[in-house]
Order: sequence, then structure tokens, then C-alpha cells
Amino acid sequence: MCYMADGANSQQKEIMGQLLFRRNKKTGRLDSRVISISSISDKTAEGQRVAYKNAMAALAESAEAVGLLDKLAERPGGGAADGAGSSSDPPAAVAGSSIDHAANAAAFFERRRQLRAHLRDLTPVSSMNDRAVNGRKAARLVRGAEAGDAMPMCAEHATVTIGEAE
Amino acid sequence: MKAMDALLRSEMNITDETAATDKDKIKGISRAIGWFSSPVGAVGYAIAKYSALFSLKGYAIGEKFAEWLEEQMSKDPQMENNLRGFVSDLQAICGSRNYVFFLNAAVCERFAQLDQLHGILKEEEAMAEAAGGKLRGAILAGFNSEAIMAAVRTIAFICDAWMWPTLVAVKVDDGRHILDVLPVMWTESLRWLRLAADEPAAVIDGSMRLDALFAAADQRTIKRDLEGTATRGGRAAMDMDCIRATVEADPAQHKLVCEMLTVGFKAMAAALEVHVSEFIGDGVFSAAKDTPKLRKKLNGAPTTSTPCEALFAAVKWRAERQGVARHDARVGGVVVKRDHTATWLNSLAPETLKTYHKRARGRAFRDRGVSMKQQRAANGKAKAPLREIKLAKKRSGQEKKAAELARPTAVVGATTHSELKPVNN
Repeated sequence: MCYMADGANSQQKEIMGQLLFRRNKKTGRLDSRVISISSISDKTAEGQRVAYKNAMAALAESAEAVGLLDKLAERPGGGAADGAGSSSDPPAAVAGSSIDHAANAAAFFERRRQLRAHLRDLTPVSSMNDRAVNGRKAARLVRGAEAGDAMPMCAEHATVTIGEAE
Repeated sequence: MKAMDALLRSEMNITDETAATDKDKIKGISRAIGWFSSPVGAVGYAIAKYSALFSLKGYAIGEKFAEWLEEQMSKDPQMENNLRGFVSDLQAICGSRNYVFFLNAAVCERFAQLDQLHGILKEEEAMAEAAGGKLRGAILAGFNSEAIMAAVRTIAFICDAWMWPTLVAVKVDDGRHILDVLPVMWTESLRWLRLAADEPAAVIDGSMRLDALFAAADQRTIKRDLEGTATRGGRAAMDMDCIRATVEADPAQHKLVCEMLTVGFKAMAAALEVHVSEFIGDGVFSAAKDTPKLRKKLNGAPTTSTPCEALFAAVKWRAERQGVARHDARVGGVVVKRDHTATWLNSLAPETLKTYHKRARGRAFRDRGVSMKQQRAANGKAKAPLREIKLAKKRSGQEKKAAELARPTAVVGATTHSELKPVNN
């Protein structure tokens, strides 16, 4: 999962867009989703990290509210979220004569809780940014990486910077 | 680009001393318009600001120019078959700065012809039209200067030979891994810049372009041999043919453009080594450091951060149409469209969709319980402590400075020799 964020102005309001990218295992292409487009109340790197955490918490809450987590939790293995389980996990209910409904329900709620926590605490492993120091520091905080941990520079911004060369 | 400024100044007989006396003026311009103050980019900037058809700002000269041109062309139908009518090829100043100088350079050269923007500006000057007079003067000065037009042509060559292939290569559309693209692309780009600095004449005659190296290295390229005025690519090729013919017909111009290209490519090679050092040589993301672990880490990474810019463009588009809408409603519309949420919702069974709508509506009522006024109050409250800390720090510094400045006035000066006291230092 790759994190991307940038800031801009819209209608006298400072806004920040945050996206997550991942490679689609079926098509091999990159898929992306907007996590948030929010007005910035704190322009510091730490402020951006908090904005990311809040956005993911809201996302987890929304996914639960519309029943998406229920659907995923019903699936054997707990769903498609990266790292939230795999097809090798034991199925939720074993077909047989004796079905333990109470145990199945408990397993379902546990899987749903895990999925919600996974979504809320999702930590991207990489990031893509322009050269802005604050943005890069913020991306590092979001990834939970240490200072000095390298990240790739946006190729288009690099092209502009090279074109401006003194 | 800025590397070419010094060469341009010497061509225009502007000495370093003269430039130094204009330092404050240049600083003022820099503050007002940032790096557009570069003499090499000034004409391109002024033309785009003055006459780009799709600009939301400016002086409405673009539309006036287009009307003037249509009227001119109506007198001679043959003119429809050349580049004259394509005023919209000039990109407005928005989004990526690439467009302003590099992608617009060849169009600026086209507009510098007397049957183009140059013509209407001369007419307007003769009529002493007041609107935009200073910008018009700047553009005409540029059009009439061989040195400035040499700079515009140089930028057009750089765009055609280096920048356009680079922008094409980074827009990966087949899901390729970032490590299969950027380390190769930047390494080839650096090699090309060094070669081109030694052979600028080959760049001018069109035999040396970066996409040849990219094609050999299996990087993304697009067809460049488009013909005719039907496509933007075809018109760009025609623009470049005109520029090549102009430069090659004038030995002095050819020499100057060669010098500018050499200076420019050398500076760009040096900048590339700094700004994308991680992808070249033994940088952390270079081919030499390519491991399965690194590949896995960067598996989801795109090659550019431009999706964010696209997102902001969509927000801006909606803002222009929904000026009074709440921010959350506006961005909600953007996100739903971009991520195809609406398509997904419409694919659901009616009953499921109804349930989702009901739940989402409940959530929306909760979130929108906070008015924009309350939201602003909350934002202001959140920002206040940091603001107070900054203000206190600044004020403390200012007070110290003021006290320091006031200190000598508190000292009563000795007026006679006997009042002096030994301080032994």
C-alpha cells in the first residue's frame, strides 16, 4: 500500500488530498482510492499524520455503518483486505450435523472487529511525494518510518525541477 | 532554464554591474511572480497570461486575438490549412508549470509571426489601447529581440527532445513497477543530457531525441510522426519544423541556440544528479539496489504524485460551479465520481441500495449537524494555540530588538573630558 498526499488552495481554503494506492493482484495495475479531501487545520507534519489517522478511522466507521465489514467478515478467511486474513484461514462455519451458532457468531464478530481495526490502523509501506520537506516528513510519520528512510520523488515534479536548473 | 539567463543577459549587453543595480527590481519581480522572473521564461509567461484562451485570469486578449484571426482567415480560405487558427494550442497557466514555459514555447514562436498575435498587438499598440499595455509592451519587446526569441526556440527544442519524451515515459499506463521505470528512465535521461550538451546541433536538426534511448530501453514512448493540423501532436511537429528552418537559416541564431542548449543541458544534468539521485548510480532505488524486498515495498507506488493534482482540479471544477456549497458536499461529489462509488452503488440490488442510502443519510445528518460557522469556529480554536505560540515568539524577538535599538538613547553621553571614566578594556 502506497500513501500519497498533497496540499492546495480552493476557495480561500487550504485543503489536503490523501490517497492510497495498491497493486491489483488480478490485473497487475495500480488501483487508488481517495481517503480524504479535507481542509487543513494543522499544517505541521504531525497534523497531517493525525488527519490520516482520523480519515482512516472515519473510513472504518463508514465501512461498518453500511455493512461492508459484515460482508467481509462473513467470508471464510475474513475478507480481501491486505493482511487481514488469507484463504488459508479456517472457514467460519464447518458444514456438519452439529453447528455451534454461538461460536460462529463470536467468530464473526471477532473477524469484524479485526477488520475494523485493520482498516483503522492501516499503515502504508511506501509513499510518493513531491520534494516539499514538510510533506515528505508527514509521509514518513504516516508510514511509521524512521528519519532518513528514503522515499521516491515524483517523476513529474522532478522533471520540472530539472528544467528549472540554474 | 535559469542557467541560460546569464548567457541571454550577455547577448543583450546587460552587464553584471547593470544587473546588480537592478537587483531590487528583480527581487521585487521574483517576489511577485516567483521563478517566472527568469528572462528566458518571461515572454512565455507574459504571452500565456495575456492571451491563453482557457485562462480564468488575464486580459481577455486571447478571445480578441481569436476573433481577429478568424476575420483575417475569412478573407483567404487557403489560410485554414495552416497553423494560424489554432489559438487554443497555447496552454493557460494552471496545473503543472511544465506547460507554461516548455510546452508553450513552440506556440510562442508561432504567435511571434506577424500574421499572428504579433500582428494584432502591433495594431493595438498603434491604436494605443490602454488595457494590458505593459504586458503588451513586454511581449512585443520579446518578439522583436533575436536573443529572447533564441531563448524561446531553445526551450522549444528542450521540450521536443527531452521534456516531452520524459513526461510520456513517466505516465506508465501498463501497470509497470516503479523500479522497472524510473531507475532506467533517469539513467538514460542523464546519459542523453550529457551527450546532447556536446552535440546541440543534433538536437536542433531533430536527429537526437530522448525517446530513441527510451525506446531502446523498453520505456514508454508515443508516436511522434503525426502529420497535418488535425491533432495537437501534428501541429507541434509543424511548429518544430518552422523553428528548425528559422534557426538553421541564420548562422548567428544557430550559434546562440547551440550555446544555450549546451549551457542548459549541462545544468539539467547536474540538477538531475541531485534531484533524482536515489534512482541513479548506487542510489537507494537504483538498478544496483533492486531486491525482491524493495520491489515488494514499492509494489503499490506510482511514478508520480500527479493524481493529487488531478483531484484538486476536480475540486476546483466543482467549486466554480457550486460556489456556495459546503466543502464536505463538494468533495463528496468529487470522491464519489473519482472512485466510481456511484457506479458501484447503482450495481447493487435495489433493497441493498435502499439500506445503504438509509444508513448513509443517518450519518450525513450527524455530520452536517455542524454548520460551516461552527466548523470555522472549531478550526479557528484549533489553530489559535499554535498561532499564539508563534506570535509570542515573534513579539518577544521584536521587543528584544526594539530594546536593543532603544538602549543607546538611554545612555547619557559625556560632554566634558573629566566626565570620562576608565573602563579598562
